[in-house]
Amino acid sequence: MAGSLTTVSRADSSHALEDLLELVADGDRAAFALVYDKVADMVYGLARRVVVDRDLAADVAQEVLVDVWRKAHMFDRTRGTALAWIGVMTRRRAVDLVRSVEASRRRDTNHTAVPEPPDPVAEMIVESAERSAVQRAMGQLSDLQRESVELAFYGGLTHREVAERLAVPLGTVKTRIRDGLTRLSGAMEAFARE
Amino acid sequence: MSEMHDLAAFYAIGALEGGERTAFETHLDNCATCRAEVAELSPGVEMLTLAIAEPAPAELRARVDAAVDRIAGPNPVGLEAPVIPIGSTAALWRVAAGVAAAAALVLAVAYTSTAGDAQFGSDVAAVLAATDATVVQVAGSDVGNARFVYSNELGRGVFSGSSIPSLAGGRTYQLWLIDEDGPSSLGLFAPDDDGGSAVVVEGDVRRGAVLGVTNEPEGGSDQPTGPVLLAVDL
Repeated sequence: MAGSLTTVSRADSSHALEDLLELVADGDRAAFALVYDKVADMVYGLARRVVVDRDLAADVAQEVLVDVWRKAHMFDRTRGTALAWIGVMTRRRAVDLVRSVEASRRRDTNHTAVPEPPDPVAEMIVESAERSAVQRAMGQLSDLQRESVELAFYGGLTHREVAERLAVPLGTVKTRIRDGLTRLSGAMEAFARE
Repeated sequence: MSEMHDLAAFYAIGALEGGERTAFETHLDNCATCRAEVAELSPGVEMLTLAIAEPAPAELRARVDAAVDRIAGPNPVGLEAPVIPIGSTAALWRVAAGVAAAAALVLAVAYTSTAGDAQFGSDVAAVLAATDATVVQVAGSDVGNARFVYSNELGRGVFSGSSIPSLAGGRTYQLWLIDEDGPSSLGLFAPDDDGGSAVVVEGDVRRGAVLGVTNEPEGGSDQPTGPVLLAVDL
């Protein structure tokens, strides 16, 4: 099927993101438009959190969304959810950009900048219907869990960098992240059932 | 902590990179326990993603659609093409047709141009003039003399070749970009009467990517299946 638009009945907004990606992999632009509706704000928000600058965040968001089109056929449902796949893809693109910007800044000025620790997620801007659920979920994490999860995801640090930053063993970071994600997973599933 | 299993949570949250990430992905192919753990932690990563949503700028949708149009839209063109000389570099010829049939399989951007197309000529010139323009050349390969010039700043590259051998009937050349996620098709090409060809691609070429050319059945393939004729580290 060469880039043809399928009829609307094949792709509608009640479809799960995973199912829409399957249609996108077949070249379905209508499905892709629905994917955009569902995820664009999250992709942009995550990019903004990592790169800060609005224009760069928009560039990252554009590249990620185009990558979703290009790589939809690579999404594997058995490896996790579609939104997590898109979230991790966004994080990676944003972190790559930050690093290359920092690298050229270092080259230009011969100044070795120490990356600033990211601010904790003090304010989350989401649809009001979801806001309290998300804030409750994040509030369920212990401070240590939240710290490691935020450094690894929003801070874009590798697992070793998180351990170095916190001056704790890698195994400790693993436990905090795993337990934190487990709690968030539970909250996500409860939220999805509402 | 050296066990693969201990890396599952890091992988799920996206904190594994490069070689470790690739090694873990290979491990996942063979470890149901780790697959289960990654899948279980995945809704937690969803929560982190949706927690940070912020209204995207209004013009983002149009930008994304325009970029996808260029990937998804076939732009067939005739085989006859005058030479378009670009400065002192090798002349570039138009890409042969054959993209239309493979549009569903062409996942990254390629577009072709018509003779004297100012857009094509200026796009190529822009790539060559970009401050981060990078050139990769291979002479005397199985695909002839190949050259790939790209600029990540502009998000565009030009693959061109000369002295490209004709293929047997029912076969085509296919251009690939192989990055950490695997191979993505950049399009099909075939030599014109003078043995030349050119493909303009858009998107960024990340460090560590490999540009490849394989010999595929006419219409191209989802994944490389035929003999690898060229593989160049970018």
